[in-house]
Formats: sequence, C-alpha cells, structure tokens
Amino acid sequence: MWETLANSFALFAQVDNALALLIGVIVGTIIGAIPGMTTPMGVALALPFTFTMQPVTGILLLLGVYKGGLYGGSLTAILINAPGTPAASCTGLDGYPLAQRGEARRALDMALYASCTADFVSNLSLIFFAGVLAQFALSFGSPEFFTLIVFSLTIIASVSGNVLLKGLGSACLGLLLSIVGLDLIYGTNRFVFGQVDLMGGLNFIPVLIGLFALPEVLNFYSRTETVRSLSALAGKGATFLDYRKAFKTIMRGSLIGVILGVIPGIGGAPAAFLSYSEARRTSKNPNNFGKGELEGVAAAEAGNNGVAGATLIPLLALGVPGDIITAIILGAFMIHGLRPGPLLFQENITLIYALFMGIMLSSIYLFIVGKLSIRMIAKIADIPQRMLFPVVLILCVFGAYAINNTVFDILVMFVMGIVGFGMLRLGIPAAPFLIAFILGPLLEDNFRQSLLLGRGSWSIFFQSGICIFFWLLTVLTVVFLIYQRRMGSKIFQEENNG
Amino acid sequence: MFSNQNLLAGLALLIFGVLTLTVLIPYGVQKPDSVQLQALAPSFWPNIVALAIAAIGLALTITTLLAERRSKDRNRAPDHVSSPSAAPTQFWLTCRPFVALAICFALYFCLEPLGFVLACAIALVALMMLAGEYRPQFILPIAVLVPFGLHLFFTKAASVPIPMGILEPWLLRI
Repeated sequence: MWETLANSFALFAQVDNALALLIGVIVGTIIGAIPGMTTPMGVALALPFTFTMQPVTGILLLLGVYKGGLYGGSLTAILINAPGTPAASCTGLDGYPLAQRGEARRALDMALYASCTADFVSNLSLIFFAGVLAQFALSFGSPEFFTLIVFSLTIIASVSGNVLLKGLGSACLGLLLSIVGLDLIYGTNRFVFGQVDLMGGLNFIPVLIGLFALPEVLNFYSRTETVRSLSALAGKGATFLDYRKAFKTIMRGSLIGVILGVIPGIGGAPAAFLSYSEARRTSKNPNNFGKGELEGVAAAEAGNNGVAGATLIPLLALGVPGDIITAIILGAFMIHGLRPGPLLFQENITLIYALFMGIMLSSIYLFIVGKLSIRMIAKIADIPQRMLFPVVLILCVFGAYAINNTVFDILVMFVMGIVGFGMLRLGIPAAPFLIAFILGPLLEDNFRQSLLLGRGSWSIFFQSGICIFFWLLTVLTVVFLIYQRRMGSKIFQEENNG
Repeated sequence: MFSNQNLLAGLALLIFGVLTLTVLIPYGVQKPDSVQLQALAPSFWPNIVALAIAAIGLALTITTLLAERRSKDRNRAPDHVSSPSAAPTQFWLTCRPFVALAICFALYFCLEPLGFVLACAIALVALMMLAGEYRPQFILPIAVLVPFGLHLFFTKAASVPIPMGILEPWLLRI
C-alpha cells in the first residue's frame, strides 16, 4: 500500500504535472468565463495538446480545464448576467443582483469559496468511493457490461434538450457513425467505400471538435455580434463571517452535487438548482433569494462544483462517462492506451493515485487562480468574438491534424462541422451524438461477445443478478425521465395558459 | 419556427434512415461468405440503428404535425412577418456561415501546398474580415502570430511534423 502510494507520488510529483494542471485551471477558467465558449469545447480544444504528454500530465491538463471551466462560468454570470455554462445560470440568479447593487466582488469571492469547498468534498468522495465501485465491477462480464452501457445510454435523455425524440435521433446517428470501419468478428468493411483512411474507423477528436467547436464558430457568423458592457468589480470582498454563515449551505450543496454527480447524465445544472432550492427552503430569508442573497450564490456554486469529482467515479470505476466532459476525458484515456474501468485499478493503480493527488491539488489551484485572476479574466471575457472565433477555428485545424498527422482528419472535422451546424439549426442536440459515438463500439462489442458466449441465446442478458439489476435500473430511469418530462411540459402549458 | 424546426428534423431523420437502409447498408456493408447467427452479422447492428433513425424521424414528423394542427385550431395568427428593411442584412447573415465554410474548404485544399502557417494566416485574415474586423493593426499581428505560434508549439514542443509548404526554407531555419 505505502509502496504504491510512494510510486504514485513519484509519478505525480513532477513539474510537468503541476504546470499542466495549473495551465488547465487557468485556461478552463478563461473559457468558462467567455459566453459562447463552453467547457466541453475547451476540453475538446485542449485534447490535441495532450497527445505527446505523459498520460497523467495530459489527463490532469484536461481535468484542470474541466474544473476551471465550472468555476469560470460563474464569473460572467455574476458580472454581466451571461452565464458561461448552463449550471452557472443558477449562480446568476443572486450573483447578478448583487453585482448591480455594487457587491460584485463579494459575490465573486463567495462563488470562489463555495466552488473550492465543494470541489474538495467532491474529490474526497471520488477517492473513497471509486475503488470500492471498481472492486464490485470486477465481477462484470460481457453481458453485464452490455446492460451497464444500455443503462448509461439513458443519460441521453437528460442531454436531449426540449425534444426527447431529437436526442434519441442524434444518439442513433452517433451509433451509426461509430460503426464505420472494419468489422471485428468477420473482418469485413462497413461504410468504408474504398477509403483506406476509414478502415480504422473515424477518429474521436475530429468528430468531437467538428461537432462541438465548429458549429459554434459557424453559428457566430449567422448573427450580429452583441456588444457587452462589464459591470465594475466594485465593493468589498466576502469575509470569513460570510463564509461561516453559508458553510452549512455549502456543505449541503456539495453533498447534493456528489450524489447527483455519481448518477450518469445528471450534470451540474440540476445539482445547482436543487442545492439552490434547498438553501431557499431552509433559509431564514427565503424572500431575499433571487434578489441578491449571498447564500444563494454559495448554494448554486456548491451544487455545481460538487459534481466535478463525483462524475469521475463512474468513469474511473466502470469506464462509463457521466456527462459529455467525462466522455471526452474517456477518449483521452483511450488515446493514451488506457481503458478506465475495474481493470485500470488493478493494472494501473499508481496512475489512479497520481491522478487523485493531482485532483486534490486542482482545488488549491482553483482557489489561487480564482483569487488572482478575477480582474484579468473579466477583461479577457470581453475579447471581441470577431477576433476570437476565427482564432478558435485555426486552433481546431492544428488540433485535428496533430492526432494522426493527416489532413484527412481535418476534412472529417469540417464535414462533422457541417453536420453539427445542421443539427444546431434543426435543434438536434450534439451531446447524445457524441456519447453514443463513444459508447457505440463498446455496446456492439459486448452485445456480440455475449451472444457468442451464450451461443446465440438471448437469455444470457438476463441470467445474472447484475444484468437484471441494470435492466431494472434502466426501466426505472426511463419511467422517471418520461414522468419528469411530462410534468415539465404540463407546468409549461399551465404557465402558458395562466 | 420551433415546430418547423422539429418537422424539418423529423423529415431529415426519416429520409436519412430510409436512405441508410436502402442504399448505404446494401452498398456499404460487406457481407461475409457465411454467417452463423444473424445477430452477429456485420449488417445486423447498422440495420437496427438505421431502422431506429427512420422510426424516430417518422415519430417526430407525426407528433409535430399533430401538435401543429392542435395549435392552429387554437390560434390562427401568422407566425412571423419579417420587416422588408431587415431583409438584406438577414440575407447576408444567412450567407455568412456558408462563406465561412467555403473558406474552411479552401483552407483544407491549400494546407499541404502552401503549408499550415501561410494557409492559416490567409484564412485568418479572410475569416476576421468576414466577421467584420477590418482594422489592419489587429488583423495582421493575429494572422501572423497565431499560426506561427501554433506551428512552433506543435513542431518544437509536441514534435508533430506540420507541413510547411512554400515557407519550408525559412521555417526550417528557426
């Protein structure tokens, strides 16, 4: 045990790792703070830079972007009521009124303290629970993995936006694209059409950049640029007394974030809103919420950041991404020849512990970067988009090329950009596409391996207790999601009528 | 607008699903000589997915049409009438993404002959001007420094051989 920890520390304690994590947090905070630039887009753009890095260094860079992005989204939500991330929209409910009252600095400080505390709690949960879950997952075979992936695909419902059918359609398109290449059992071509470059299947990165970064760039050209005015960073910062008063709310929000973060597909936004509503319900001043209550900022940020470490639990322990960002990080593991899941805990435990050490350090970095950079980031977020988006496009070109040193990947990226732009225009969400594209090969491989094991009998998918457990969980989740959507549309209709 | 979008999405999915089933799979998925089990055949999974796409497209089309009918019964007001004065701007805004795409594909074809640095610099100038930035004091430094900086990072720090094209003699000296 101690020897493993010592080896992990040796693997982690390198200047490259510390620097990559710091750069990641800074870049993530900047990207999160720029309206129109999303955290998944930031992680996707950072991914090509990790190819030549050591696995730990590369993954820490991406985790830094992820964590920085979660916090960065709150900056513009508070300052100009333009949330950089969906979850940060909850922070803006009280943060922006505080800024209008001349207490922007206090709101930003509280957002930072709540983010760091929640991030720390979430990281601890990751360290304590990921190993336990991985131990349990060691008893999984192909049928169990198949049912687990089917369950994981239910996350598509939560990233499908307003129309579930569009999300499902998008996921099916992703599944279809994941089929391109050689068939693993018979060695025959599927959708290759004589193109040698397609025989190995489509690379994940050009598809990812094409779907997430390019449509945003193209969409920018279809609208007039909005000129934003920044509120001055006025007022005093939050005091220790403010933090102590909100501590209970922060801890509750952190736990809500951890619990919701472990469940694939929930994400930061529902955690932020649940934490916010709980804070409001238990507050002595519920009427102040929405009008500039500091506790509201703390609750929203704690819920949002409590998710960060917890979403890595199913990723590391089961190899199942909990959201779109962890799906990209799963891709990063694969690029470095690593497959997250129970076997990773057996074969690469030093790497896992090294990552845990880095993740703990990220909370400290987040605090330092947040404290030092509030003024600077507020200015960076104001870079005109007419300069920013062309630069992002060129970054995409270099990034797509660097994967395999082939311009074919750039072509794939541009084609996927057209697909993504078309989907954006038709209101078809891109996240289900990408999740299905990543999980598709796993789903098909485990399905076919199970049938081979069961000699063609479909009963193999219902033989073990784990399989039945995941089927039940899938059914329950689907029923819950349908009920939730019906309730949502009912409320929407009532609001429209009333 | 919203229902039109859903209708178009439904029809697009339906057409794509049917095309995949009738054209892409028969011509694009090679069949092995013998298949022991149909569920293990290379075309089994693509067929299931394509069928699902077509079914989802059909369901989306039908639900949108039904919803449209219901809402028409309730409210017969016209959707939206655009003002004639906004038309030219709107037309240009509609065209701009396609011009940007054309620049992207021109960039793709120039990357190897011109080299990444030069091709990206030209593309950056074109893209920034298309976006409405005309000040040379901003355009030129960005167009030179960004591709050159990325070239340096990828070639020197990440050891990725970036095609240098006609600038190779100068770039190799750095």
